[in-house]
Amino acid sequence: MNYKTIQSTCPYCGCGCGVYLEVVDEHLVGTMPVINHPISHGGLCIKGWAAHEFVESEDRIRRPLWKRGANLETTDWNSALYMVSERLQAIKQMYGPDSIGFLSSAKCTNEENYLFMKFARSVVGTNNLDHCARLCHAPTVAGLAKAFGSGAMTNSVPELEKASCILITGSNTTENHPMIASRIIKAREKGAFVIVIDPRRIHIANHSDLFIQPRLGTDVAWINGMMNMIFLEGWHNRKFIEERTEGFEELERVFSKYTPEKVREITGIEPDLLKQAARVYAQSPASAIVYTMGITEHITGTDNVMSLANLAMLTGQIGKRGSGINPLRGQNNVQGACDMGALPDVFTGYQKVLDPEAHYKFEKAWGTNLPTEPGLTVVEMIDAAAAGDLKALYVMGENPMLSDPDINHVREGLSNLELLVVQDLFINQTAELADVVFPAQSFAEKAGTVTSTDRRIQRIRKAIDGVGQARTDWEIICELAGLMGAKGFDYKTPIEIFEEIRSLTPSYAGITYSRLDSEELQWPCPTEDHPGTEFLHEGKFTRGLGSFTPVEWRPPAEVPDEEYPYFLTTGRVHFHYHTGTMSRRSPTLNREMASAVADINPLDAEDLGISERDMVRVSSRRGEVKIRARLTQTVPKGTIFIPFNFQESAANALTNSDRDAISKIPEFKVCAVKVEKAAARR
Amino acid sequence: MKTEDETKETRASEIETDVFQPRVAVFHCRWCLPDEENVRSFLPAEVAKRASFMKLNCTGRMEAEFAVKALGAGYDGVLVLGCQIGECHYRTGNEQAWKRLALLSNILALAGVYPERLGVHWADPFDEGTTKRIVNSYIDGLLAIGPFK
Amino acid sequence: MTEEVRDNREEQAREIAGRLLTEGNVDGVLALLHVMDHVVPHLFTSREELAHLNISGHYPVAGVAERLLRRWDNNGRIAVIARGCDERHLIELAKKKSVNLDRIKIVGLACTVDEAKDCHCVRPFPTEVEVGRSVGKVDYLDHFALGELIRMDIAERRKFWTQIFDRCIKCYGCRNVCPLCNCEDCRLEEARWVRVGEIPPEYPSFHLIRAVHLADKCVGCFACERACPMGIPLGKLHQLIRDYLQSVYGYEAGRDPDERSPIQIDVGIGPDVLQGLRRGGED
Ligand code: SF4
Ligand code: SF4
Ligand code: SF4
Repeated sequence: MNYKTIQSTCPYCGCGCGVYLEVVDEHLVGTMPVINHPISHGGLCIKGWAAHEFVESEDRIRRPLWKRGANLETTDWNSALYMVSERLQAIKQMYGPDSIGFLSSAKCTNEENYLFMKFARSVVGTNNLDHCARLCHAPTVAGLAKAFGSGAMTNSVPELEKASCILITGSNTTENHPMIASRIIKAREKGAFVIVIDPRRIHIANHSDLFIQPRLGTDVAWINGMMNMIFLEGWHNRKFIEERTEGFEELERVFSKYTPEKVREITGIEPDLLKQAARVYAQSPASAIVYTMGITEHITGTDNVMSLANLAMLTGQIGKRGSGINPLRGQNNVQGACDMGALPDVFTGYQKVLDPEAHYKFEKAWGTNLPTEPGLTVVEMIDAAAAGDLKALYVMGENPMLSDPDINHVREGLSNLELLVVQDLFINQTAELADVVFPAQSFAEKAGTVTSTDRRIQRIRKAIDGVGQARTDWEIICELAGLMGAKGFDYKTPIEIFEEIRSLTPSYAGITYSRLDSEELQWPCPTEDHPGTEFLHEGKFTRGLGSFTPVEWRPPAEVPDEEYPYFLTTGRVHFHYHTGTMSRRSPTLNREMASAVADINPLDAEDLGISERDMVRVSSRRGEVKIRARLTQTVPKGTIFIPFNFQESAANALTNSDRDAISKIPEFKVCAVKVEKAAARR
Repeated sequence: MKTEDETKETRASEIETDVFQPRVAVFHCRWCLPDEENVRSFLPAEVAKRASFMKLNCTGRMEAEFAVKALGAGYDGVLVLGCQIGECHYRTGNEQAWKRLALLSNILALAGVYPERLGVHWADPFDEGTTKRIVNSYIDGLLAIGPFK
Repeated sequence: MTEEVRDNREEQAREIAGRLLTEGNVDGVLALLHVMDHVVPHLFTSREELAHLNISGHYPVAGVAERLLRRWDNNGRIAVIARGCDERHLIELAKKKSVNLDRIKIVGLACTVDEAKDCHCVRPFPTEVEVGRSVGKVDYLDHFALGELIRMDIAERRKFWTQIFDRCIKCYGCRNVCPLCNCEDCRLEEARWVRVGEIPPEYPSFHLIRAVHLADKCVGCFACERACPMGIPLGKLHQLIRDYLQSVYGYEAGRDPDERSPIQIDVGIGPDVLQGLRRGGED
């Protein structure tokens, strides 16, 4: 008889809530909230409460698999590892290292992302390394880095309670970052003015002081319009602009064109409402902006982010407690995966591949020659695979077959590869196409660190032994590296890996496992006596002066026309998580929502003769899905919403893979579709 | 596109329904009030048209959930009609129900739902006049407090 | 001063737990364990672990006890270091036949004044105190907030509760954390009572069905309110319902395993009614 509780961090979203895993006789039986946790203080959302449910699922891959004929068959670890190492070496020899690509994972630990990165760069010798942050916050990293010199959330989650105005845009906060919504609600109880600007009437709009509903894909226009109003009314922060920023004149030239009338024409927003938002945001003592994919997943994603940065700098609403710009990161460790350099152009801590000093530092530390040119992004890798230039792809804990735009194209790319290696917990749509599948361990079976959305590094701890023959991702990488003759992969524990990370990463240098046991630490934390950083850019931006970048509004790549008369926008739902590989194996979550529904405005439904729960066919130029309709006022007339969490009605069969020129993010949030009632089905 | 006539028609019917007519969910005992048509006749005609009737084997079977769910489903009131105290076919089913419904009405009041939405009457099958009068005053109460949603 | 009492209680608890473990009439002692800077529920099975036994913290351990004993079927007997509310939870669980009190040795732990204040508790002690000293019957209910809720007229309350229930994210935290919300089939999960896949959850079913179910079981521990991420004052709602049962029937949940709830269905009637139903409404 044995009962114990292990403290860990929730494996779902980027909030980073604290969980206790309850273990009875070596089985995971429950999850409980950590009472005095800085983020979740004793609460959890439904996903957090169910965090243990998928771990010991029947569907877990328990043995390595490889493709024999058309089927995946079980094999043993040695054969599988040997085969992958041989094939990778052969492909590298024949086509060069850049014929191999790596997709890292925002679900794996920092240690694993670091090792995967090290493996790609030092063992294989390519910078073709990316992960799904490309599909959510690449514009944030690009846009905020340009404006401030750092692409992370500027404030911390608990600090939101200290804000006096919170502007939420493009974030369905209650559904997707529930524990952050909890803070916002509490801030409002304490008197903060909450503004929601979103094309959909999302839940948190009911708990706001001002709700504004712009047309889809018009963010740059309303932000410019808001800046124009602020400037004309003299609500801007002259001192801040003079002392801490550069490039204001050009900015003014651009935003001054966005008169209230012009903005109304583009966005549909009434000038009075926008003005009210502008006034409160600019004049409140501490205003915070909170945003997510509604801002980034556009061809103008980076523009949108830079516009928000402009707005914050114009009003001096950044670099103070409770005030700044807060992109909420989606996955539990997407911040960490970026920090660890699982990106084509940077090493850990955003040290640039192109920077000779950084390059030298890593070559020296790892004792190898490293590639010098930035590599391909995830979408480019898929294109290269389809074109036959990329021959092998190694996917750790990702599911591009569901998360990437235009999945028919993804399938084509992946099928074209000579070698597809997938390392995951479950057979997902990507693993089905794999040549080799390594069974990996979940968060409950291993130790390590993850970095949540507010730059907070937290530990996950081993609660039970690995399911079946599954191994941790870092062990698999180490073994493979060893087989390929690489030196420097003989770690015994995650601590050893972490020590190497912090020796190479200034912003993590002061963080140790033992400090994490008793302290809350947010990077940058340069030395062991540094307390970590609650909010960024106090007194000085990371890059020195903040940089204004004027941006003009551009319409989305695809807008409704006669043939495809409706806007489609995609997103997530509260009860599931990302591509659903974990959450859909959780009985609690599946009971709440077993299949996808498309949200349709009742007025559109009436035009189309669709009633509640009817099956409808939604099609775009790229594909079609069949899905049940739900009539709701959440979506405005003319717009359909489909969550992308469900494989059988994959929204990404419809979405457009046109990309933002700078960050390469695809435009998930807008495309044009047509909707028809499907044949009745009982 | 609606024709002008149709539009007029919808307007007319809208005006008609502008006067609030409560939707009532009626739960009645099969021992004292077995006949739905009979129960229907206790209600004002306009209300009866829109009411739903559920026959229970005993009001002891009446769960608070039924009432709560009915309110959520768009009913403005829930009416429970059972045998007089002492006349329960199962001895004290109605008494048990009564305690639970009293508790429920208290909870409703605490949560801001007019307890008047919940009507309970222990009917004498041989005195339909009284039943009718009480049911009607219950409906008047609903009219006074207006729709639930 | 408070600190002194606290230290002393911890030693007492360790000593009693040690004795229970060696005398061998329990398989483990369920209590709180101090690890790093956190306190977690833990089943102590060896004396060595007891150095880290802790008594601060507010985990409703009765739920854990119930789940453990159920998992271990008919084997096993455990001791539980139980505060007043934990004991009352166990008593209510026993009434529901969810635990067998013969398999549990309750080691009563008295709360300090500060702890009682924290919980808005009126009875911060178990029936038999073995650890600490009872501070007696107190009244730390948040009467101001309760008064506000009572003072409002129905329309104001409606406005208040619809607004506040609308925040709910259907995390089920209030249910999960409550030891007495342990039904095998929870109606809050059934689509016919509460539409699934929606937040906020269906009004008023989600919240009022739970309120009704817990009305005569709630022992007023406020765990649900503390676990609610959206700041919904569920504990206060329950307190008002408890007050009703107290004033009308003089009933208080959790006092005595043999005391029956005044609104419980008479089991003598139940089967008859059900039989009638099964016969499909025939005589
Ligand atoms: S809010 Fe996010 S991190 Fe917190 S419990 Fe829910 S899914 Fe987990
Ligand atoms: S206060 Fe809440 S958690 Fe405690 S017994 Fe009552 S309902 Fe359950
Ligand atoms: S704990 Fe709060 S938010 Fe969660 S289900 Fe209960 S009332 Fe809703």
